[in-house]
Amino acid sequence: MAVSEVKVIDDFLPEEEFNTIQTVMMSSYFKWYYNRITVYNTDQYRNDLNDRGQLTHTFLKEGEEAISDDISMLNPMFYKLGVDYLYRAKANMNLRTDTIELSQYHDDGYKNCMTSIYYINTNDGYTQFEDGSRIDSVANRMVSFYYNLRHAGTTCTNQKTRVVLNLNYVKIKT
Amino acid sequence: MASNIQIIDNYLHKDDFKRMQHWFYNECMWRFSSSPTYHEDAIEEVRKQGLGEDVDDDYQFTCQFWTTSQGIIMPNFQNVAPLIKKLSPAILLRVKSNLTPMRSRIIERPYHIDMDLPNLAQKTAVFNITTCDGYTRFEDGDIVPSVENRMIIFDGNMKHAGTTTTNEKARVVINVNYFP
Repeated sequence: MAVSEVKVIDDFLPEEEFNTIQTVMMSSYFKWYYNRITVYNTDQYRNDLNDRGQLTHTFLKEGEEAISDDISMLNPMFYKLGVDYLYRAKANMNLRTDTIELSQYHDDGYKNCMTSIYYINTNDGYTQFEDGSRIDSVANRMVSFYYNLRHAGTTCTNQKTRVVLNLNYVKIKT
Repeated sequence: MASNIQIIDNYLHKDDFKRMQHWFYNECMWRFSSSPTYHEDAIEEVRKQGLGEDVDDDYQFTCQFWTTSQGIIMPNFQNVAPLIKKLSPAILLRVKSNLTPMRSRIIERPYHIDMDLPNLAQKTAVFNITTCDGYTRFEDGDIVPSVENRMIIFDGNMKHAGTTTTNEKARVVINVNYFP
């Protein structure tokens, strides 16, 4: 898949629905897991200070029973994306750094499906693809591409946190 | 070191400690706090301490295990139970942990007391989960480095403060406020 096939939609959700999601996820009541490793869970990176790790919140993951109490607020998003089967919905929080730090390129590990990244806050971080093209983190922006397009996320320098939502799903056939 | 600051290394049995450390690093659910210690009514005090510029640059994550209003918070509490059992408090006031992600510099947070209970014999215990270059400091100048499985116990009315770390991915401490 070519990077040119990446679909970017600004103002993806109506303002009220976006505000609900942003308010919940940026609040001090939203719960996060701390991960010492950002992408590849190996001993090599576990103690590598160049990988700062990140905070994650899994709304739903195929094969795991636990479902986040907050998943229902994402329904308008699933509907608009045309989600037929959801493999995983997971939020990532990266913390501010002095300079932008890029994670490793990766795919999310699910096959024959779509990957979407939804930006919860605006900051100077971005999503980068292997050809060097970037999508800036702009609140309420949705970026979608086929599962095998390798990508990487960054930290940010101008907000305390960078928060994104990652979705891996099969689309309704039209 | 002031005589009223007690430092106990290897506080928990190694197996209990490693279990606890694993839980904090892998399974604990944290809440984001954009301004640790910097309560609105304490900002003036923070500026007096010369730490004003850090207010906008700091953050941490917290997890509660016991509060005076809620009492025990399950299932979190079971993960700190060995610590509380050994501390054996007469009355628990609060049990809370802080996770401070690695920063490029050490940020010294402002001095504070956790529970404003003057003239009462409350104690504060700071239990270190992480070995790193962060530390706990006291108003009289004493500094206690972060060493894993190290317990620091002091008079709850002593002003103290924590820091960030530059050489570990995250600094984790457990704070216990109690009557002995």
